[in-house]
Amino acid sequence: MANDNMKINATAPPVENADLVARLRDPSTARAAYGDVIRQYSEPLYWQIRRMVQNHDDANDILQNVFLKAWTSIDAFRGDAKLSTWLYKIAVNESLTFLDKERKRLNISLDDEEAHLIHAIEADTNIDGDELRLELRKAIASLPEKQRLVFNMRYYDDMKYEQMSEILGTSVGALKSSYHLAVKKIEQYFSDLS
Amino acid sequence: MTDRNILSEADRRTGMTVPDGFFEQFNERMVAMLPEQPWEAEAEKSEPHVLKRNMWQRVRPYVYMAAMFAGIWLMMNMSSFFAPGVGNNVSPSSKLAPLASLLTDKTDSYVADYALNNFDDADIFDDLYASGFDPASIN
Repeated sequence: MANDNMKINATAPPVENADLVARLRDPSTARAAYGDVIRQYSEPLYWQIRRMVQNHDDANDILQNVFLKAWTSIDAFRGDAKLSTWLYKIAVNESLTFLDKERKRLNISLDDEEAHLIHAIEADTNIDGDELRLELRKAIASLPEKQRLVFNMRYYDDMKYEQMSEILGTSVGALKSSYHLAVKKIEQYFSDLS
Repeated sequence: MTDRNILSEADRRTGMTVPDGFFEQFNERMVAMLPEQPWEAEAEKSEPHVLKRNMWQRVRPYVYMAAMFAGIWLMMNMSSFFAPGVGNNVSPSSKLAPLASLLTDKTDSYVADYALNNFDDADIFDDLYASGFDPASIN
C-alpha cells in the first residue's frame, strides 16, 4: 500500500510548467499535454480530496470528475491563473459539492457532519495503522468545513497563504487566523482526550 | 505530551493509504476515458493531408537524373561514333581504336601477307638445310 508521503512533498502542488500550459492551449497538442497534467496532479489532488471526504472510493470518483470537468472546460482556462490553482479550485468545489450531497442524501445537518466523518474514518481500511495520525484525522473532522480545508492545505500540503487565498477566495489575513483557530481547536481536542 | 508535539509527531502525514499501483492505473484509465473535444476534430481537419507517394513517384527523380547523365555522355562521344573514313566507323585516333582492332581480328592474315612478300624459296631452303633437313627423308 502506498501512503500520502511516499516521496517528499507528494501531496504538494507540482511546480508550474510554462511549456505545459502552452501545449494545453494548442488544440493539436492539448490531449497529450492533458495526459501530463493528469500524471502530475492526480496524486496531490487525490490527497486533497481524500482528506476532505475520508473514503478512498469517494475520493477516486471525485478525482475522476475533477479531471473530466477540467478537460471539458479546458478552453476556458486561459492561463491567467496558475494551472495548479485552477485544478485545486475545481477539486475543492467538487469535494464540497459531494459533502453537501451526502448531507442531503443522509438527511444530516452541517453540525452532525462531524459524527458522519468520524464514522467514515473509523470504517476506513486504507490506513497505515498509526493511532496518533488516526486520532488527528478525527480531530480535524471536528473542525468546521472551511477551517478543515485551510488546516489541510497548510499543515499537510505546506501551501502558501497566497495560493490558498487564490483557491478559496479568502484574504490572507482571514486564512491565517482560520489556521491558528484550527490549531487551537485541535490542541483542545487532544487536551480533552487526556 | 504537548499538543504541539502531536502535530510535529504526526509529521504532516494522515496515515491514509491507497492500494498498490493505484495512481499509475488511475492515470492510464483517466487518459483513456477523456472524451473527444469538438476543437480537436477541427484541428485535425485543418492539418495538411499528406498523400502517400507511389513507387514511380519515389524513383522518378533518380530515373531523370540517370537519363540526364546518359545524355551528357552521348553528346561527349557523338564525334567518335560518327567519324568518316575508318573501317567500321571507328577512328584510329579514337580511344576506342584498340578495342576496334581487337574486334576486327586481322592478326593472322597480316602475318601471312608479310611472309609471302618478304621470303623467297632460296631463303626457305637455306633455312631448312641449316636446321639439318635431308630431302631424301621425304621419300
